[in-house]
Amino acid sequence: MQAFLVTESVLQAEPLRALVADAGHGAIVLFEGVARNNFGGRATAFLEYEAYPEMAEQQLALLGQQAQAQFGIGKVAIHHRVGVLQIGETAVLIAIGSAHRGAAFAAVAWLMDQIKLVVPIWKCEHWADGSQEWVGQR
Amino acid sequence: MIITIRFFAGLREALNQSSLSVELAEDATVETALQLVAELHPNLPLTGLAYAINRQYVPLDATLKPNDELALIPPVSGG
Repeated sequence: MQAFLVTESVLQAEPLRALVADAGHGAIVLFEGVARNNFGGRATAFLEYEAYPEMAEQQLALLGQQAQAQFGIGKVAIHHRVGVLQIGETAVLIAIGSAHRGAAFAAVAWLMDQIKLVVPIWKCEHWADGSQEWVGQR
Repeated sequence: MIITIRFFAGLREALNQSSLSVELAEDATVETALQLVAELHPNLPLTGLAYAINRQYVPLDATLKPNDELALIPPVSGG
């Protein structure tokens, strides 16, 4: 399994956990970003994600390398789902293996912030009233 | 020279297609390509974009080469 992947398939935590596990690691942090039923209080029916997949996977890999250099963590894997997601489904999954937990917690928070800034993936809110909107675009 | 321009999300929907092949002068820049897109499709929202050539972020004055893939990247919202 690829460590950095954009996929239309349902995301599974266990294979990512296996990718980052290491006998020298005292911590594995798994983070799931999940499709929420509202945005700023407005009711969401479902979400749709679109990616520039080739570039998004490169950018995820680059962020993984930067996180390793910056936080001294061990292995990193990041999968992002695209296509239609129902409420409660996982949109992004990050796994980090680390000698100690503190670095892994810091790295996962940083990675999520960076993903929202630089990785070419877009979220479309399909509102409960039937209209739709690409987040951050007009 | 011919290059490919890719469009995503709201831009793709506004254009109603995900890519265009366009002919540009040698040594054209991202800005030149953007001007051509604006002329061909005056109603496209071309503000607030980032640009990538062959899957690497580049500035507006970056130079294009034949067969390059230029991506117009609206504000991202993954995660």
